[in-house]
Amino acid sequence: MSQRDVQWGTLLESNITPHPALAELLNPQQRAQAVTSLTARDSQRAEAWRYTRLKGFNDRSLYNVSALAQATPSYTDVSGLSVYRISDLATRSAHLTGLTAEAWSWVSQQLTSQEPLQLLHTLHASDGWVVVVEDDVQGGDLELRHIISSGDQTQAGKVHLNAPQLWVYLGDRAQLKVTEHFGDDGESCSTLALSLSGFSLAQKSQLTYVRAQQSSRDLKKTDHVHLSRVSAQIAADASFKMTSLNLGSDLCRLELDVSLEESGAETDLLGLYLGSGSASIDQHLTLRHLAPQCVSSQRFKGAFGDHSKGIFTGRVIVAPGAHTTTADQYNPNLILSERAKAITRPQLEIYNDQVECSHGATVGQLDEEALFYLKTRGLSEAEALRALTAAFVGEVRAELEDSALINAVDLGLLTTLGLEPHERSVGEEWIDWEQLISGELP
Amino acid sequence: MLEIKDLHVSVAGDTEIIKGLNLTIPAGEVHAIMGPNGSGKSTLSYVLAGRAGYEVTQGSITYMGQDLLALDASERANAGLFLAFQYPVEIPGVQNGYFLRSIVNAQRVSRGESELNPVQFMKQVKEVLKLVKLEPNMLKRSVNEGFSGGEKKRNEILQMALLEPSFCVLDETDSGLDIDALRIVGHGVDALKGPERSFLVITHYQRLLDHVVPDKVHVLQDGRIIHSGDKSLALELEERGYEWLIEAQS
Ligand SMILES: Nc1ncnc2c1ncn2[C@@H]1O[C@H](COP(=O)(O)OP(=O)(O)OP(=O)(O)O)[C@@H](O)[C@H]1O
Ligand SMILES: [Mg+2]
Repeated sequence: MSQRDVQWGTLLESNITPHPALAELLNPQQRAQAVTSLTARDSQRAEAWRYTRLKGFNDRSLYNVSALAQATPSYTDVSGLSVYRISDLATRSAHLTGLTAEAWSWVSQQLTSQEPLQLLHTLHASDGWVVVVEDDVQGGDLELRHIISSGDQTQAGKVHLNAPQLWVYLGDRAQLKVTEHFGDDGESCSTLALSLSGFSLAQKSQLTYVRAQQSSRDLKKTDHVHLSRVSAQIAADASFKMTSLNLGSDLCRLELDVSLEESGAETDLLGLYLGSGSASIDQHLTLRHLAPQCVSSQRFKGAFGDHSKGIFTGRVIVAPGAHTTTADQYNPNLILSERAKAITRPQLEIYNDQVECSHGATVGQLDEEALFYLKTRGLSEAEALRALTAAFVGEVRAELEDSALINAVDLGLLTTLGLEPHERSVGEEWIDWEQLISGELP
Repeated sequence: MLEIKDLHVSVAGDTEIIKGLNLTIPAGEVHAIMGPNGSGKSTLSYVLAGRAGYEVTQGSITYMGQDLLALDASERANAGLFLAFQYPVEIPGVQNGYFLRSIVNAQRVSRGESELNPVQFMKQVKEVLKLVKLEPNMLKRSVNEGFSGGEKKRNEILQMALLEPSFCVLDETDSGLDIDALRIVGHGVDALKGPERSFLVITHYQRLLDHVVPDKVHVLQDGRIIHSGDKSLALELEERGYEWLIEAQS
């Protein structure tokens, strides 16, 4: 499937038009370094990128839509919640914008990090957002919709690239909910999303982060690549709760790098990733327990149809001083066709012995007996399949509050199963049994 | 209603389990099948219900004038065939209430009827819950998950009563039931008896047959029916076991 893979070389050479303000962040020397770093066959990098081969969008050139398609966040009007454009911050001195030196220093550090995706992103990004929530400010809710659109007919044959970024800085005891959607407008062009999202949580702050990625396009006709990196640094007694949905693309990599930096920090990472067609879906997690008494939970569920492939790498590092650590990791995978494949790689690196770690990684198929049982009651094969896969993802689905996301999960499941949207659903519709049982419904 | 002729069934690796079985069950009749462990009773029930992996190598099954073997499991169910499993399957994550409403509606739609809305469904299910003495709260739990042995069996009868099938196969529905539950199940089956409905009751014990009186009793041994009689045969078997019949065979 060379058609849909990305070639580092192509990405680095063609159409590199970063925003002038951002270009300044990387001097020519750093740029050269980025190119070397991304193309080098460094063994550690090769291992980390083992399952996502980025080679060749063929000769099709990229059309960078970042500038046009730059999503603007919508957010609740809360005093103490500020949203800045990176280009504004970079061209004016920070104190003119009201951003604290601390926050700006954190942002600049992120922008110049040497992580491969960060480097690649910087070469293509046109702009991005910085969100700051001041100490004790709560009740904020921010949403970004990164939808790649193919408006310009003259660019129709090109791969549409969008490179958004979001940096969120929470003060002490601050609380915020952030939602990011990644998708396209349903027209037929190939897309490449390169996204970065980073979070800094000061002590006792709480962040709820939902990210949903799906493609409304016909995966058979066009290519959709989604490469993203999410990072979070969590201070004392702060909590980072994330739900990630990768519901359909040809090539997808989520890099998640979470550091529990001070005692009492917590993170709860919930993920669902689905593959259909010849998709390759790579979930690459690094969780760093750097301080005592931190708690982490990773629950990632994958389901794969046709000849798609899912890869989960869950690296958990427990530092020598991080005693009384609790780290749970859970990665069940469901294989829905003979040619589909799932790889799960829990990697625990524990450097002290006061640690409670659990991990449950499984790869399995639907229960034949349960399928038969449902069919003997009159459900068609498709209905029975749908009921059982819905049950499999139920755990993740139950945590979604937004009905549009629930629908997106249901649609993603249908694609994964190779079914049409009109097939009957079992157990998907919401009914209040309490009321029904007590006879209180009309 | 059901006619099985010279049925031969093999499972994986060409092991023949059913070896030339003949059985005719007219409409409105209750037939019991008894027989030693491993004689092929559940295999027969699975073949009737259409389970994959059971290969019919010879013979035919005609159900209400149509070739049953040409239908898949869900078509058979929609044609009015029902199997109460010896071991009902637990399905974590699928809520029993949704499941029951879905199967009722799937069958209604297949007959060209309109679907029941939750309130209409609730009305119907409440009646049936009473019949099998199950609590409405079981609608909120996952299908059979964590149900006691007796509750699972009663959930099977509940489904049977909701779906109102024409032909019911009960595979050891009486096993693992306490005396009261046995009466409940017996009563439930009895309530469904009618001129247009037939039953094939697989059992090891005479006691269910006190509640569901059979028209005929058959003995299955090594994949064949080796003896048939009226309800008194069940009593005789309870007393004498199967040895005398098996010996008479060889
Ligand atoms: N899928 C299978 N693969 C191999 N052997 C099988 C399979 N299914 C059934 N058998 C064998 O076929 C024989 C009949 O099994 P079956 O379950 O039909 O017996 P039964 O009469 O229902 O017994 P019981 O009274 O214990 O329920 C047994 O020897 C069993 O091991
Ligand atoms: Mg049996």
